This record gives sequence, C-alpha cells and structure tokens, in this order.
Amino acid sequence: MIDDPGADRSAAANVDDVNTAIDVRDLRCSYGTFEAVRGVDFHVRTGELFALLGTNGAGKTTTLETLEGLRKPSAGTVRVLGMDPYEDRKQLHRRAGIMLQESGFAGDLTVAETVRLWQQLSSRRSDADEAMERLGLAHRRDVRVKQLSGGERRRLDLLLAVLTKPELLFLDEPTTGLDPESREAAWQVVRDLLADGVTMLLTTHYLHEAESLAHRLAIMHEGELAVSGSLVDVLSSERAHISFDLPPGTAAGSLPSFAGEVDVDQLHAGRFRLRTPDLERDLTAVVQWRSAHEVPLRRFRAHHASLDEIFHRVVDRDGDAALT
Amino acid sequence: MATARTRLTALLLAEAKLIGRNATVAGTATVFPIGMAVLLVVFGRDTLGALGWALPIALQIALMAGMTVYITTTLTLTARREDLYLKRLRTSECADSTIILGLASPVVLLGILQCLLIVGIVWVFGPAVPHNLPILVVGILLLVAMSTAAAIATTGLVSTIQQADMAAMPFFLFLLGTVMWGGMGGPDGPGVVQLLTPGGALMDLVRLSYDPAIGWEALSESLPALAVLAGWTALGTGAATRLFRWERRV
Repeated sequence: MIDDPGADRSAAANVDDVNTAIDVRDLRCSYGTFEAVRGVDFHVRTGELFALLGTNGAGKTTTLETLEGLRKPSAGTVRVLGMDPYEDRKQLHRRAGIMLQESGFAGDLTVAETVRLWQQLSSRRSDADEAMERLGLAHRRDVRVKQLSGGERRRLDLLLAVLTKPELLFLDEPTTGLDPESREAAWQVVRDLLADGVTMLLTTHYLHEAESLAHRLAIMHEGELAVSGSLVDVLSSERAHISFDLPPGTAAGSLPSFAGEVDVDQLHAGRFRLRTPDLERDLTAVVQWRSAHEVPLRRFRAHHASLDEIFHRVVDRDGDAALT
Repeated sequence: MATARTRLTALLLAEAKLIGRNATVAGTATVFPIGMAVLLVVFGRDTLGALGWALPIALQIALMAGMTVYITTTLTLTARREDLYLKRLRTSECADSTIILGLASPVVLLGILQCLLIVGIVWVFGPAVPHNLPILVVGILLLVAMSTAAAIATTGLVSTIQQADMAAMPFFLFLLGTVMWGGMGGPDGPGVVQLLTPGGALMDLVRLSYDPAIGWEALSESLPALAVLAGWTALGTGAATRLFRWERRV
C-alpha cells in the first residue's frame, strides 16, 4: 500500500528509533507570513536513500536546510541522528555531510587549499588526494576556485560533502549543472557510499535518477507532501497504460468489457488508451480479445506509470488533497 | 583532532591568504598607514596646536579603526554572505562565533598593526613619545573591538556590498567627528558629553597617553574613558548578536 501523509504520521509513531536516521513530524517553516513548509511528516531509515522531489518552490530546500540545522522550524519536531539539528548543529555536522543547492567558495583559494581548509575544520580524518581523484579534480588542484567551471564547482561541492565519509549525507540537487559523464561519476560515488551503509536524503530534478537510486521517495507540492512511500508503492498508485491502434473500420464498441475501474480513452482516430489499476489482468484480456477476433493491433504498448507521470499529475492538479 | 582554536586559526590563515592575494588590498593596507604617518610627521609638526601630537594621532587611530576594521570588516562579511561562503562555512563543524571571528580576525589584526605602526612612526620620526603607553594600547584595543562589533551589526542591516558601502559611512563619520569634537576640550580633555562618545573617549585616552605633564595619575584618570569605550563595545556586541544574519535579507 502506498503511504499517504496521514498513514506516514501513524507509521512514524511506530518507527524503530534505532533504525531511523531522520524523523520529521508536522514540520512547518515560514518566511514572514509565507509558509513554505506546511505540516510535513516523513522519516528516513538508516542506510536508505530517500528522494525528496518537487517543483521549484515546493519547499524541498527549506525542508532540507531545516534538517541540516541551518534554520529553525516554525513548528513541529525534527530529529536527525537522534539530535535536534538546530540546537546540536555542530555535533550533527560531525557526522553528516552536506551539499547545499547553492553555496559559495572563497574564489581566490585553490582547490587543494579549499579541501585542506575543510579538513582543518573537520574532526574526522580524510584523504584529500583520494577524494580529489575520485571526483575528477586532482588535475585541477592548483587552480583557483574562481577559475573552475560551474560543473567543476559542483563536483567540489560534492567532494567537501563526502570528504570525511559521513554516516548521513544531505544532497540538494547534486548533479544539476554537471555534464552526463560527471553526473554518472557523481552517482557512482553515491552508489558506493550507499553500499557502505551511508544514509542519504536527496533532492533532484532528474526523476530517472530518483527512480534508479531511491529506496523511498516523496513528492512535495506547495509546501506539503502529496505522495510518499516506496518506489514500488508510488508507481503502483498510478494507473498503468495499455495503448494501441485499432485497424481502420474496427468499431470501438468491439473492444472487450473490462472488469474493475478501467478508463478507455480514444486519443485520436483509431488510437486507444486504457488506464487500468491491474496491468496484468487487463493486458491479458486485450491479448485474448485480439487473438479471438484476429484484430491486428499496431503500436501496442503496455507499461506501468512512470514517476514522471505521477510527478506531473501531482503538480498539475488544482490543490487536491493527498492521493487515495 | 580539530578544536575550536585550530578551526579559528585555519579560517584566519585562509582569510589572510585571501587578503594577501588581493594586491590592491594588501598594498593599501600597508602603504596607507605608513603614508598617513609620514604626512603627519612631515607636515603636521608645525601645526600641532594646544593638544600637541594627541589630536592628529587620535584622528589617525580612529581612521584606521574606522576604515580598516569597521568598513573593511563590514564589506568582507557582506561579501562572504553574498557569495554564500558564510552559508558553506555553517555546514562545517565550526560554531557561529568561530566563523565570524575567523573571517574578521585578519582585518582586525591588521587594524591593530596599523594603529601601532602610526604610533611607532610618529614616535621615531615625530618625535612624539607616549608617556603612558599601556593606556594607549588598551584604548586602541577597545576601539578596535568596538569597531569590529559595529561592523558585524552593520552587516546585519544590509544585503549587498553596495548597500554596505553606504551604510558604513554614518558610523565612520560619527567616529571621526567625535574625535574632533573631543579635541575641542583642549589640554584639559573633553567635556562630559564629549567623553561619552567613542571618539571623545579615544581622544581623552590619547591625550592622557601623550601628555608629559601627567604621570601615574593618568591611570586613574583614564578609567572613565576606558569605561566608555568598553560600554560602546558592549553596545556594539549586543547589536551584533541581535542584528547579524547568515543569509541576506530577502
């Protein structure tokens, strides 16, 4: 079953504290009179990658920065690694790595000097050379940061976040601005850290990246969680599609009747789309019908909903409540 | 293992490196006070007035504290915030106070050095001998501390470097103006109201430092002025705590 925010709230009450790295309950954050985050509940289990998706302005970065201890919530409770992130920020940052959506550097320091400074600010040991090698910045170590490209700066951002091999990682749009090769290198670093048991909370605009890496995810819209749950549950919440072209002259009425709630849409002349809660059942029915009536179906496609479709449905709706 | 002190040192050295790599800043930071002191020695010695060396030296010290410490610290912190470098540093293990002190320290130390340089140059080439050096040094340190606190507070009121440039002017002019006003009291020192201003307090301390007619009693006579500067420092610190923002005003 998909989690909806209501169910997650009750689920959070039963979450095993030992296995919960992040616990958020009724989080609210305001900028003056504008409420950017409106009663958000979710938790992140130890060792998992949780993806927080949403449009620009949905409240993702505000949520993340509250969990990172950079801002105080207006209401609600937040526990990160068992700590209040705002009050215990120093202790939290000893154990967590943070890659902000936007942050700056001292432009006249070189890459190596920046990394060394970060090492000196950290109480955990780290290998700067290995980190620079891994993020493809070793050959740029003596270049001043202001001379780096945007993609190189983003890699330096990620480098500083993972330098001390933290047990928890906050990644706010980590691959934005990276070329495909750099993006893949960055995700390989993330996969390696996941394999080592690092817990991650990630925001990204690249839905396919969330699909390929996240254990669980949530979609924020206008300050609230519209959808949350495991990837499988989220994808299953949206109807699957079966689409095909009927041969000319074939009446739409000849299509079989379907059990349950199946919507049949005629997209344009001859092209039909079925939206079904049970892909296997109704795909079987279509194939059997086709065989029985010897109807050739062209451009035949059948697939579960994609995260993209769910995302667009969430952001395109007019302020509806959470999915049922 | 990193401690608060090692983190502060790391930030201070990094910031000092940045200042050193800016040729304009590095040059003016050394040339300017030396040049001012030389001008004072060459052109000022015949126009000293009743206060002798005290007034021009007090003005120079106020100039260094105002320009190097107050204005530069305001601009530096504003720029670091605008560049989102402050935000990055807050994701480290540093306490907020360590970050602020680490970034401000090189400029503060430079300001102190400039003040001492002026005193030293005028002492050697003036010659203007500070007969009560400890009073002068404590006065300089308090003035620099007050200027630093005021800079941190001013940073909280602005969003951009351009705004910071303009916002810093009133306090800077207030500092210089109150030194001049304090000097109007002549050899007897500033009046009560003048003494309550930071410039007036500084003027009194410098007067007591350079007046050869005042001996050990200068120590007790300096207490009101020292208390005033300490009070302004406390005021500045309170304002800084209340006003400073880590992200720019939206």
